[in-house]
Amino acid sequence: MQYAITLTLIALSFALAAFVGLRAGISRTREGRILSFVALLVLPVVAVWGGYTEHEERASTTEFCLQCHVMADFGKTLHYDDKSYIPAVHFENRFVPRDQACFTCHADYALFGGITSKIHGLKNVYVQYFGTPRKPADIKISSPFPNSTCLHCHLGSRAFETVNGHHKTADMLQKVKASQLSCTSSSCHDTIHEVGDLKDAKFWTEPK
Amino acid sequence: MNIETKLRRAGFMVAAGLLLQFLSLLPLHPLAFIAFVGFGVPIMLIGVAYYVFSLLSHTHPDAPVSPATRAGQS
Repeated sequence: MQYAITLTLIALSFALAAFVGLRAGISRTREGRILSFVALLVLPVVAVWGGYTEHEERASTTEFCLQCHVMADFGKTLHYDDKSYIPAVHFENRFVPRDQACFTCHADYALFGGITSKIHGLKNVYVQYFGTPRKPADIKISSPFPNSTCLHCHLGSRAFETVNGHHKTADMLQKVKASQLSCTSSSCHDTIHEVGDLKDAKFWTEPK
Repeated sequence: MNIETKLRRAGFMVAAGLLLQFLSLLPLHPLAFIAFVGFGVPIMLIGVAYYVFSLLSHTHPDAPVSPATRAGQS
């Protein structure tokens, strides 16, 4: 629905701007000047805002992320039939929305997190189309995975707060919450995408 | 250059930018996002800026002439 509205808005803005371009003489009348103002300033600004919102929404989808060839293998790892793989267990159990599986874990949840993630994504797109992309097995996360992304959902949940593994030492949970102990690189939850395991892996298929 | 010529140019630039934006929304592809951000939006914004500039720089024929301008004319 939002997509249709955005397309209609941009099409309408285009038609009006083109009309003003073809009939610039309308600016001789007061009504024509108002129409020019709406067609060349107000509507385009609204249209670009709508277009950006739509693009941002679409750029958050799993389908979008997996368009790049090197990401295809990472998409397959979401279907590992093994609970030790963190992305697979999140995807298969619907701990993350399946249509935004990549973005849910690879987005910064700070104030401008969405925009920061998109800028970072643009660099990946640049490498994909204008650079030399690495082999999927050689691709590593560019900065340590932040605990805040995990805590965004898990903090306060009963399983997270009470599971024995989070109380191996008295202050373990506090250290995790303070990001002094990494969730993913402290030998705890460090089996992530592991695309190198794909060739020997078993895959889970959702029952119809 | 008169205001109508400027309006025409601004109108075509805004329309070109909007057309690119429209086309970029049809496929779901990373390059479509690049086309939107890298081409559609800048071209449209240049057109909008050109329109605003043409409005600000345009003097209406019936506008009162400032004393300084009048002194320069005499």
